[in-house]
Amino acid sequence: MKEYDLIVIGAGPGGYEAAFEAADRGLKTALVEKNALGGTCLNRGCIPTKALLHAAGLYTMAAGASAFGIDVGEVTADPARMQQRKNDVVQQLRAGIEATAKRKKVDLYRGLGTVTGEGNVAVSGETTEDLHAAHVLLATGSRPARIPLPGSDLPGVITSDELLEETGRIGRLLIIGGGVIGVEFAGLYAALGTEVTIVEAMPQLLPAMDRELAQSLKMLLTKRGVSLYTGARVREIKESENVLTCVFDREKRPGKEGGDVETLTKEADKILIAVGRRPCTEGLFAEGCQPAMERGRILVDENGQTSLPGVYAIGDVTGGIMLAHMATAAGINAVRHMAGVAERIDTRFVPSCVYTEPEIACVGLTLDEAKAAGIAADSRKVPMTANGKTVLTGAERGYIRVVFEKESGKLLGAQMMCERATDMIGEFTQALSAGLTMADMARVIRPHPTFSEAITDAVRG
Amino acid sequence: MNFPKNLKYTKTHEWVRFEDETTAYVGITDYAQDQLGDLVFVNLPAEGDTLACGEAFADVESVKAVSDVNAPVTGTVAEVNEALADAPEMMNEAPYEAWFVRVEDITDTDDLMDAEEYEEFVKTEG
Repeated sequence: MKEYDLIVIGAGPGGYEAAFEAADRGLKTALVEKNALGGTCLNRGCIPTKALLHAAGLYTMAAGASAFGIDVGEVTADPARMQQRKNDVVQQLRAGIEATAKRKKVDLYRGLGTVTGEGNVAVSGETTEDLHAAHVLLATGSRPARIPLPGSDLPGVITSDELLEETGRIGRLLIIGGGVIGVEFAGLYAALGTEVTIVEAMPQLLPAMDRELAQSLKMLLTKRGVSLYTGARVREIKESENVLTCVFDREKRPGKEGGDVETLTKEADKILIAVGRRPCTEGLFAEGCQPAMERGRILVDENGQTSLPGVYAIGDVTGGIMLAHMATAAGINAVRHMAGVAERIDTRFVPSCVYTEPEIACVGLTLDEAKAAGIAADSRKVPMTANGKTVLTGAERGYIRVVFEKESGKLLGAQMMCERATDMIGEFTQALSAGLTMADMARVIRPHPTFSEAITDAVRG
Repeated sequence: MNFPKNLKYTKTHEWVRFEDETTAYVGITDYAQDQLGDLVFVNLPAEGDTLACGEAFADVESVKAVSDVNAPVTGTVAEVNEALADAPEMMNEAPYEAWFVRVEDITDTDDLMDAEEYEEFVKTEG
């Protein structure tokens, strides 16, 4: 039995960052992982998708370079080499985590971690070891949800896990689910010349986001040849001679009651199921050692404590906002709670990013949400067309909308669709956390010429 | 410049077509689209939203700028022209067919002009 102050199960961005935070605070820490270091984010999520999207972006840019006076001849994309480059990126970052763990003296255990009693964790797999610690942190993440749909187990019907390993060309890709994962893959494959269709059950794409962002994205994807069906429920998937056929019912007026429904069919070579993710808890608990759970997710309090003494859980396995940066923040906060440190990362404002082209990012309240919450709010929108950097880079239509309290001018939220939106959203998140007003935000110089000048335009009014 | 006789107009260049006393369609005028230039996006309200006279209920985006569209009446949005959202160029091509919303339960109206008055207003303003 090896003795630790903290055992972290799951080495994704929630788990490894928490382990590093613990090590930095002097806790003797063990990190248990049954698969590759980096979790979903690094191996099957954020990083590989963005690596491929970056390559697709280069392809689009090269194909359009003649408008800038640069002739590159015929531009072709090689999916196999794009894969290789993506794998190299993942490999490099994985090695970085391993090196950091070593430097911070976090002990890595390769195997399935199972909670077997108070403070007890059994590791089984590549390593077999019994560990004990005062605190255990569960950070086992999530996996793509499979829907009980006739034909969903047919070959060619895949999740993001498999699509990220795809090395061939896809002629026709149908995506079930128009959320973040669905639209990012749509953008990726549309850029590479694949015929892409999205079938989304809700009345709009990105159902969790602002309508204006969804509408803006809809127009962009349509322009790029993506076929969109919202308010559409998939009935079944059929297969014949290697061709998949998706059968779905579409409301003619999505989201409206009493509307007509039509049954449509669409053929595809691959069908991606991107309908959300489910917490992973298989093999995590020995008999009688399971904390309180609800519909597959582990229930926790604001400090990440489960119903079992000394056992914490953070990130996707707790449901809620399934984002890498949310898991990291929750993991660090849980460790600080264990260590008796008062300082916390502010989790009231969680930025959401969508890596479309241009990017989408938002934080805080939309105008509709603010009004629904009874706040006298107003908003201001600036189009990126007046922004020099946007014009000189030949970027697509974009905008920044800020939402603020009418009376005080206090920032309530921001929604943006523009180049580098995912980088610029950090400034709004900082401003929200600090409780800044529009006037506060307008008081600083933003460099010229940059995309961020548009923030000045938005907050200055 | 076109000023259909069957419509009412606002000083902020919206048109209103009353179906009956409490129901109307709302859009932006030919003059408005001409001033704004090529329209590339329209941000529409949702069904069930309430409109208040003189307050912005939508915005339109040209390649130059974003402009608020003000409510000429107070009422409830009964229908939104989703087709317009997908094809904002309709506002330039046929401004009086490019309705934004159908408003019901109208309880108040702005100071509306008839076609002649609006034409005169545009002339003096321009």
